[in-house]
Amino acid sequence: MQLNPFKMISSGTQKMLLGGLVGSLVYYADLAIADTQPTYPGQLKARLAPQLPRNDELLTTIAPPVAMYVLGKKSKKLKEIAKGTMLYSVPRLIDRVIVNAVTPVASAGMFSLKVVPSPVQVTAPIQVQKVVPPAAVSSVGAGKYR
Amino acid sequence: MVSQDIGMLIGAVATAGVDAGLEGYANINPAAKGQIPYTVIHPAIPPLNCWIADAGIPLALYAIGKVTKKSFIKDIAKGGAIYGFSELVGQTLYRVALVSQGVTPMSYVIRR
Repeated sequence: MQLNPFKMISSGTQKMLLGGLVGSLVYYADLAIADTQPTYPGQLKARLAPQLPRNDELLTTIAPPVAMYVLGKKSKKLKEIAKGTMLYSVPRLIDRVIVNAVTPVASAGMFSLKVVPSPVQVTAPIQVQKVVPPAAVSSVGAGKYR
Repeated sequence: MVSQDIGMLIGAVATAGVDAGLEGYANINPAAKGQIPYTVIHPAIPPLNCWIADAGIPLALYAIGKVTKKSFIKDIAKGGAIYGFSELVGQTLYRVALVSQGVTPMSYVIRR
């Protein structure tokens, strides 16, 4: 009985898996450097347009499959690896472009989404009670937010 | 591109789409953070939603392909597995690198 999962898959699939790992490691190695090194170049953190991913993300998703494809023209083994790199990088790039197009201010923070104005218009001015009755305010109370 | 390659690309894009969808839901509803399926066992390990998208979807597709005996669905599962396995390995190494540097990694990729 074969228990090694890597021996259960064909040689071609193994090479594609290796290619996917190459794409993934390049992408995440760049992210790890960008997140930990304060001297990381600002040009790479910039964006060509607000809807696009950061320049380093574009670079690390486009360059590996292109490089592997060019190298793969010389040998069949590298062609399979290039295919695997594409299988990781192309969905990753599509994913990043869509996410950034939907949330153009995503770089400002983790949960900062584009604020869409409500289509419902408030016609009447809201009455705000400026004076708080003294009985409602406790001088030494342990309120919820104290 | 042959039919097998198209199937694999569809699988990889579908897996990435489910991953982004789950993360997008957490972005829109911050209250979901920390609840199932957004639980984090350890900062160095990807959260549960990543495991569901990157491992669960390809496995489910493979099971469907096995039951229906359709090779195209198995190809879709294979593409999803190549994307998902690479994503989980890469993200784990990224998280381990950050935790070892004393930086807490963000839970979701959409932050950027």
